[in-house]
Amino acid sequence: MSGINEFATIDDTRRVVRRITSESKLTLLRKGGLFTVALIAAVLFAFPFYWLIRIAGVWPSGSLYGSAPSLIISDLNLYNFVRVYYAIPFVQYTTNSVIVSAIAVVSQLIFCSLAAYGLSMSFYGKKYVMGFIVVAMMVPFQTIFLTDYLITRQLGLINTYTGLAIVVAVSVVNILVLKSAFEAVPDSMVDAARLDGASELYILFGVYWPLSKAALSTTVILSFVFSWNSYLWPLLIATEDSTTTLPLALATFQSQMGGNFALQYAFTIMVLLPVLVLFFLLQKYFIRSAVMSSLKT
Amino acid sequence: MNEESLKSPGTWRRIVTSDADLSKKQRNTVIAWAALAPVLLWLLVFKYLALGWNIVLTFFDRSYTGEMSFVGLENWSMLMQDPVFPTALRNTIILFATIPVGIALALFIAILLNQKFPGSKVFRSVFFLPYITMMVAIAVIWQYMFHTEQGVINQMLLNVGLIDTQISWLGDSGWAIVSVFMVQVWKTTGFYVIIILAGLQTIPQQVYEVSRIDGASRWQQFRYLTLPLLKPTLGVCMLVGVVISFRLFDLINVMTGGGPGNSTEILLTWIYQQMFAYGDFGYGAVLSTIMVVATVLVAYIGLKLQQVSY
Repeated sequence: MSGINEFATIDDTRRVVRRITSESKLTLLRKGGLFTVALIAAVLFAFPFYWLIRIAGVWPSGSLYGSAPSLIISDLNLYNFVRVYYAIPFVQYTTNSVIVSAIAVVSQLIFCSLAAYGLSMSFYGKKYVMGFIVVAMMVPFQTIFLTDYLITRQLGLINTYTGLAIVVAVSVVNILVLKSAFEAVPDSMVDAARLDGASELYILFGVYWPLSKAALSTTVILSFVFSWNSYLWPLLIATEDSTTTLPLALATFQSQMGGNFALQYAFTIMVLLPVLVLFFLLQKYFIRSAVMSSLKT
Repeated sequence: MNEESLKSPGTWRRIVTSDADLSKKQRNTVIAWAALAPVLLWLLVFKYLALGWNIVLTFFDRSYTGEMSFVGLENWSMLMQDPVFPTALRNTIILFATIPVGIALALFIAILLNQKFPGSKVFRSVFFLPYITMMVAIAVIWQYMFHTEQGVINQMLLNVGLIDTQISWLGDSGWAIVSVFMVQVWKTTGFYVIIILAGLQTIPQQVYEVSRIDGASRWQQFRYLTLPLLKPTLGVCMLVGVVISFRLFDLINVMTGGGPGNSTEILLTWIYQQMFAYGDFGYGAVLSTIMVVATVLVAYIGLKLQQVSY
């Protein structure tokens, strides 16, 4: 009761206490209502993921035929994952996906940083360069994939990792995110580095980079997820197992395995796992990346 | 500049510093262009050259092996005879409509989650999860959920009593597009929720306190405060929604394959068909060009809508 004025009468105190309790009761009720509505919506949204786990665990998978399975998980089994692992060159596909995504992420970090570094200075022709970049952003890859494919084929990059990574090697959104991060770095720090004889590359990687960790993590997350999930481009470029990536393998598996949904779901989990694990570990960064990237478009 | 002003030290300082700035700018120009070169080259090849070639290609007949022959407007006139084109165009437009639907739903959820109650951060992540999930995986998951006999959706609807015969979600040309629509809304809503939440947090609380003193109801607060103040945020959602809409290729190609018949074909899947099923790059280029125009148009309408007052 120390918070209440010592000169207050007992009646005043009672009144205050009554008001506080009635208010908190109301908010509690309100909170309960909000919580319930949000919970229902969240359950509806999360259901497909629950169902994914539920069906992937059904063994023997033939038992899926006939009646629809019950909603409750009662017979979780990992055997479908083992079967998928041996049915397809899973390691090869995963390796391909990892290599292509790694190339995309590294390339974006380097080239988008360089471009953002250039754009953060004032120079002759900046206006035109900005225009050039923004107009390019308005033409999504999907609307010109046909000629992108023809160009890549002309370059002899069909069925190569470079060919797979080339369309995800640069992203205008990441350039803009990095540009605004670099612009936030105080000029005095850059000037100090210059006086000490730092090279341009040192200023970019030794001064700007350590001060732009949030924007860099955005670049890494966006380019990794984008490249890992990409389907249309690998569908055009990868025609052999040696370059097939996981999304493409999953789509092909789906047509090979026809009605065996337990196996398909098991494979789906195996494909989704890396991104989902990353997401649960780094939720904050994923969500921040989404916000940062959209605020720049 | 007259004699008098040249004598004052201030002018000299100005001239000297502007000279220094000039040489600094010249130096920067070399560095900036060098740093930008790889990206500019990439954009030149994979955006501008691709776009240009796309337009050129519409006047040529180009076989899969690469022989080109000029055919004038023949590819363009094929549009008239193509029975699938109107469907593909219609579906593309219908599926762009998932953007306002998703945004409306997200607005509701975001306002809900913006209140302080336990677990709101967890809920935020749950809604966001579909957005980072691979579209191919989503297609596989929902394909089975939509299954006519074994699908959990029909099963639940039957149990609740909303329907009395099973719906052929992906087998019926009318329901198939509805199914695709629902999945796309499910995928994108969480993303809009995150963006709108970020937008809501920029609105100062005092605005609401003042309006409460003035006796505004919750609905009035939403209608006259929240909505107008969120205008830029909703505009961003609209523009990003256009970009997300292209992921629909993955969904449709895997979940329905454009079928049944060609009922769920969109421009992107139809372009892909032209390329790989028929090897007709010229006509594919015509469709691509239309797609570019449609995209720019939708983005433009989005911008315009943003400027219209509520």
